[in-house]
This record gives sequence, structure tokens and C-alpha cells, in this order.
Amino acid sequence: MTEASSSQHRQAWDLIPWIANGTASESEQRSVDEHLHDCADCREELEFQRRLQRAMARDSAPEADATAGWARLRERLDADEVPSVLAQLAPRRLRRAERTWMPWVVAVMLLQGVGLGVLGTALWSRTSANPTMATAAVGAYRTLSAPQPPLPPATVRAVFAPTMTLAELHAALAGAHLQIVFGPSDADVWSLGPAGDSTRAATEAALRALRTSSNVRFAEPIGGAP
Amino acid sequence: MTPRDDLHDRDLLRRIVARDRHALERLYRAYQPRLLQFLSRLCSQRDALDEAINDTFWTVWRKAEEFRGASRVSTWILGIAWRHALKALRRNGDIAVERLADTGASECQTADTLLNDERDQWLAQGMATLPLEQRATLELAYFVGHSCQEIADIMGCPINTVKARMFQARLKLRNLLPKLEGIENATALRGHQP
Repeated sequence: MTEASSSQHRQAWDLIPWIANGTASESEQRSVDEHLHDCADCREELEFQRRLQRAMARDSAPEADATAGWARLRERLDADEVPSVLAQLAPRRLRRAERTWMPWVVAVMLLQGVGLGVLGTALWSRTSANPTMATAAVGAYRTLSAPQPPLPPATVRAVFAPTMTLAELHAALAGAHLQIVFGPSDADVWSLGPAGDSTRAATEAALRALRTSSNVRFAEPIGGAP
Repeated sequence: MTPRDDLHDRDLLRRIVARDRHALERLYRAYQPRLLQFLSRLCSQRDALDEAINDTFWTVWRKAEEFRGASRVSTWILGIAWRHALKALRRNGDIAVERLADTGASECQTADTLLNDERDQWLAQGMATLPLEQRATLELAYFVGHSCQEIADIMGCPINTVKARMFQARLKLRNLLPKLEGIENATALRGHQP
């Protein structure tokens, strides 16, 4: 076999699977056809690959239940959509509001600063004169710098519907006496805790209240919660 | 898969980009059976197969806008399915090797059925000797019917790698030729008997 015919043989040999499955180009097909005319090894190999293909083509797949599979995928889509829509909605509205109201917000903040300065001066002069008023003032007001009450432990896990608005979310949480503790998670699940009573009965009542809303796709107690 | 089918699939993908769930359902129902057929050749755990197919269409839903149209939609979807199947196989440590070989012969089977069963067992055992990538290359070429370039796109590797895998797989299976030839000849002879 010359070097040229050896190279042609190797080329044809490599193309044989693609000739067998009918995906070779026309020029590849022509080139292999020419070689097959003079090469018994390649003719035999092509026949073997065709037999192999026929044997592999026998369908022995498990039964496909597309309806059940689609139902599982749809649940996953439902669970994914709602919280991410809510999460995207809030910042977008905020940005739009910032553009419109920012000059006014800055003006109000400046005014508040001046007012707080005046109030602080007046309060200082009055408490210096009467120390008992200082205790009363601390008890009556809570400032932004004061320590926040700790969040309750999460007792309920929930997923909300895609069409749910923020107002509906607030109403659903208020109706179930719940507040957001954390969320949404990577799987877009919200963790909720009691806004008041944290007993088991309160958790069960909250779950019942949540499940009456068509906007709540999924609500379950967190393991170990009261 | 005809060019017309591909145009239809592309239209469905455009609608999926616009968040049309009905289009996703149509694509799912069209592809789920064929993905199951292909992936069941590589993995025998039904749960893992269903999970890989579910993950595939989850990715299609989220990444449909990334389809650039350089390949057929079917090639793009099979590529996603292949990557998810690899993950499932790595998690489960399972490769379908004896699925076909498990078929036992019963008394009511005809001689032709027995020959087919024998051929299936030979094939299953032969395929089980191949590494996963070589096996998938053969399945994509002979069971699904893809070209060399399409298999490279699906498996995310250079075309020369596909050629090398196919070459190695053929070399290993070549040793089983006499058995396959014998069965085929026997079937042919029976077909010529009066």
C-alpha cells in the first residue's frame, strides 16, 4: 500500500460510522465510495457498523410519562417565580421613586436635621433643670439607634403565587399574625415567624390562615417549631 | 428531525424567552420521551433520569435567550441533557451496564426472539466494556443519529475528540464481530427457509 493510498484508507476508515448513520457530507460519501470499490477491509467494516447500528436502534426505553414529569416541572416553576418577582419588584420601584423624589427627600432630611438640633438643645436645657424628666423621656421614645427587639425564630416556610402583590402579601401576613424572618432563600422560600403568640396552636392557626389564601402555593411548619 | 421541525422548535424557544409556559410544555412533551430513551442507555436509575430531564428543561426555561441558533435546537437541548446526566451519574455512581443483559428467555419465546435476545445481551455486555464517553458517542451516532460535529457540540468537546472516541469504541467492539455476524447470518438463513 503506497503512502497516498494508506492515508486514503485511514480517512475512509474514520468516516465509516458517519457513512453508516447517513450524516456524512456528499463529498465525504463520494470519497469513501471510491475507496470502498478497491478495499475489502473497509467494505467489511462498513457492513459491521451497519449491523451494529441496527442492533442498537432497537427501542428498549422505559415508559415515558410526560404528563407526570411536566407536572413536577410546573410545580418547580411555580415555586421559583413568586418570590423572585417580589424581590425584583421592590428595588425597581425604589429606584424609580428615588429618581422622582430624591430632591424632596434630601430637603426633608435637612429640615429634620435642623428640627432635631433645636429639639435636642431645648431638651438638654430642660433636663438639666429637672433630672426626673430625662427618665420619662427615655421611656416614652424609641430612636433608630436604640437596640431592635430580636426577631422570633422562624416557625413557617412558605412560597407565594406569582401574581401576588406586596399589599396582598402584607394582608396575608397580618391575617396569619406572621412576620418575615428571612427570605427569599436560594430556592425562593420565605421563612416566617410569629408576630405575636408563638405557641404550637398559634402556628397551626397561622398555617390555616395562610392556606386559605389562593396566593399561597405552599406553607408548612418548620421542623421543631412550636 | 427535519429542518421544519427545527423551525418549529426555534419558534417555541422564542416564546419561552417571552416566558410562555405553554411553549415550554409543548417542547417538554416533544423531547421528554427521546431524552429518556437516550439517557436510559447511560443510566439505569429512573429517579436520576427523571431528575436529569427535569433539570434540563429548568435550564431551557432559564437560559433560552442564550440559544444563538448556531446548532439545531435538538442538539442544544441534548447538550444540556448530557451535562445534567453527567452530574447525575457522578452523584449516583451508576452506569447502566446490565439493563439489556437482564432479559431472561421464557419458554414461549420463538427462535427469532431468542436470537434477538442473544444479540441484545451481546450488545449490552459489549457496550458495558466501554468508558462512558465512548459509549455516549456511539449512542448519539447510532441510536439518536447525530453527525460528528453535532456530537462534538452536544458533548462540548473538539471534533477530533469525538473521532478518537469513536475509533476506540469501534476497536473494542470489533472483537465481538463473529458473534454478531453469526446471529445476523442465522436470522438471514431462517428468513430464506420455505
